[in-house]
Amino acid sequence: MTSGMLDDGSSLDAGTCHVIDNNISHLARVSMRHLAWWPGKIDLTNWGTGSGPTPYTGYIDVSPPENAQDFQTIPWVHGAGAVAFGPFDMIVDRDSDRGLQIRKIRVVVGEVVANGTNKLTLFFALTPDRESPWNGLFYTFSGAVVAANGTSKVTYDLDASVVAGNTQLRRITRICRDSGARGSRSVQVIPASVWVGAYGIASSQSIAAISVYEVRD
Amino acid sequence: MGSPIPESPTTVDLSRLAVGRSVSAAHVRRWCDDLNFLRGRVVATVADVPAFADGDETGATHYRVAYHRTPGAIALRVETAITSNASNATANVTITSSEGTTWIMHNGLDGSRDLLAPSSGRVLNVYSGILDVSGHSDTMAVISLQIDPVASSRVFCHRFIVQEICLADTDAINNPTTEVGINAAWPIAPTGQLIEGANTESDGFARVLSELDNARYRTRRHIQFVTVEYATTSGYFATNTPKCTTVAPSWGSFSFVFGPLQLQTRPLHPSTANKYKVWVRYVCSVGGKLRIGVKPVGGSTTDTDITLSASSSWTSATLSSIDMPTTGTNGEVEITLQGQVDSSGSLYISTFALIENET
Repeated sequence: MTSGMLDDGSSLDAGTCHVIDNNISHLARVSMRHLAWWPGKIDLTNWGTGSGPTPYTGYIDVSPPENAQDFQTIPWVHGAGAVAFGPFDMIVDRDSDRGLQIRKIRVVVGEVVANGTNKLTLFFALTPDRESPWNGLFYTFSGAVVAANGTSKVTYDLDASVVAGNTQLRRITRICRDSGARGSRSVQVIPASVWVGAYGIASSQSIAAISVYEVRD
Repeated sequence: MGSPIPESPTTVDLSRLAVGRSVSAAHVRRWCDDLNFLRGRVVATVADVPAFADGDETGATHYRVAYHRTPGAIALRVETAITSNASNATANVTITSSEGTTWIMHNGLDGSRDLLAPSSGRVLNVYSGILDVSGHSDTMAVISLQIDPVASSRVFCHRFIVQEICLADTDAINNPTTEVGINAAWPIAPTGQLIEGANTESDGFARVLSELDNARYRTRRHIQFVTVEYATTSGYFATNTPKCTTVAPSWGSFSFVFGPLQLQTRPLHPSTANKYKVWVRYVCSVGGKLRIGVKPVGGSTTDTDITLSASSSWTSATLSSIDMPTTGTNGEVEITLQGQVDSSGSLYISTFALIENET
């Protein structure tokens, strides 16, 4: 940088400070990160209605509790009706009435095939580290998002501005430097996983092409 | 001892900055804190690869991720989980970087020992390592995951994660050319006088502007999907690899491959578009094209074609710049991919990467 106006000892003018403050604030605001793309497709099993098979059929290690909560409607098996993304190290810079919280995360299911009225149900969750939503530990959970007949795209914002009551932000430590000149260092981070799940009660239901990224309010 | 990297930016009251008033050193301390946040905390989430049942019992499978290091980033987290269709299967798992593979912690991901692949449905073993990327040059690298089954069982990749790890602190005072951020005591001395400095020094006004630029265009967004690369001789290659096939008489026309996938642009300057670099991994023995459809949400599609030279093995193609318009609703953009082959054959795509390439 060369400038006759910014030499050592000169005064710093208020206008220049305004510009720099503005640019820094702007960059902080638009520093939202893209988290994941998944181009794949899940053809959902037709679970029908009534007392027939359930989304749990075929899994020996999980079964629906007698009094299943809404987050236990599906077994959240990665690859069979659900997709897990992350864990990502969250940035906690979202101002809320309860202090700084995790950034809002948008999930877009770009290719949805919903045949029939109320035949396809989706779920979205943000959980600590690698927790499954099935355990009931999550920063936020969508509840059932029912796709109307003919829906081709579903967008859901995971908003953890009010973290679910039984879950606290979980920190872990990661190594962020080796043992070089400055020695080994570690940093505390808040890892979280994004989950998308779905089940259908009619034939030919599917979800595909999922995008996950941070957004501002 | 370094300066801590803040976990969040701070607010500022511009009304205190008025003509005729002194600018305090405490005020510009906020610049330093927030630039340290932007440079040390907001690092690249490079790739997240959810994978399901892709694996081979006769040879290795690969996943390849495009990565352009954020200046100052040191540690890159690489993580995978593997499963198998048999009990007691193991695999040799090797992660490498095209810019040189230096481990801070490998946990067997350097291929030095075989790793357990539990049968599907069992509790997953997650293998996590940390690469030292401080030696990477300022260019795009490729991070590769190779899974090679030891016995005659298929070993599946369950997930593959590549992410920079944020910094706990920075020591720009003593190492200004390698460390991020700014000496927080400057650029205004307590007497209220400016220090110009240089961008290679730890303090001064030039350093502020330099780090502002580093935060703006050298902290790159990575937007990519990655799928499996089977060996082209594998029995799974033709059936399990994502592809498009066009048949006579439609050779030369485009057919759908992927999408729509979505991203959000960010307004970095008065222009109405962000610049990205495109990197594609593919196999197409007869040659063809990949058509990238870019549609701002609420707007119309602009197509850009990448010519893919004929190749019977996995290879890469690059497009140095493509515009992502910031004019869509919420700045969001839909991406759709279509493929074309020149004659009888198929186009297989394993990785499609967009890496922010602003100047």
